[in-house]
Amino acid sequence: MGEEHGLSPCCGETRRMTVSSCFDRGLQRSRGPDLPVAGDTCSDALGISVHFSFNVGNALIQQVKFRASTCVALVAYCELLAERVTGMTLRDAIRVQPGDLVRDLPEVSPAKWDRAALCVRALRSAIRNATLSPRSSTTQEGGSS
Amino acid sequence: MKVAYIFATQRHTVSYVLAKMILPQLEEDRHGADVVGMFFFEDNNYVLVRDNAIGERLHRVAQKKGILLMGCDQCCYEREIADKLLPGVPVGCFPDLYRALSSNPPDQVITL
Repeated sequence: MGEEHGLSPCCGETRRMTVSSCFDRGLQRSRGPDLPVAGDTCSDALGISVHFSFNVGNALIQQVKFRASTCVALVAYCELLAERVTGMTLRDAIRVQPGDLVRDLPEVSPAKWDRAALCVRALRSAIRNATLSPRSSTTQEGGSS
Repeated sequence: MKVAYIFATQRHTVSYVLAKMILPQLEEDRHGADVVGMFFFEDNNYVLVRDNAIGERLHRVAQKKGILLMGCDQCCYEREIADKLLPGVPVGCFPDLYRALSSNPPDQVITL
């Protein structure tokens, strides 16, 4: 069961793609220090901000972290984005669109859809920094630059 | 006097205080204060779900009197009801509540 309903196995439990479950996982992911490749902190007019970092190994994004203002929609979108781009190349990750996140968390009200654009902008900032820094782009998982 | 209610506790807050005191008084225009907003936490948000009998009455009186109804967004997402609320009832957090009330601010905020 599960897959067709947006569920997938994870550590013996189902990983649910709801705002609340993404928010809970996002809070866990937000803990601890940044990873070696970090983007700029991106903010909106209300002062809500987000900042992504990741590390790259074998030309793939191996691990992603973010720090975000505690807006439930923003954290949920960030977590969804982090899960989505893990295992992707930078080239593929930069192609993820805000609309992809909005579509996959349909509970979020239109008034908060701009949070998806904010977190995509923050991830792209980190990707740009990775591509500008050859040393960062070859950093291995768990390494430091 | 303008007031806003925050429904924070979960005993008989909605089924009794709201449904049997505040709501009938609003429906009968004898509440004694202008209610500008109501914000709901935790299980109190179930009253805002479509087809809830109390919620439907509340929605009608809110539309008639221009009362803001808003559910706590984290509470609603956790209960997976954020997209099942009465028409036009938003979910939000404190910044959203303050922004929504800024054009018609209450004199008193009453937490129930």
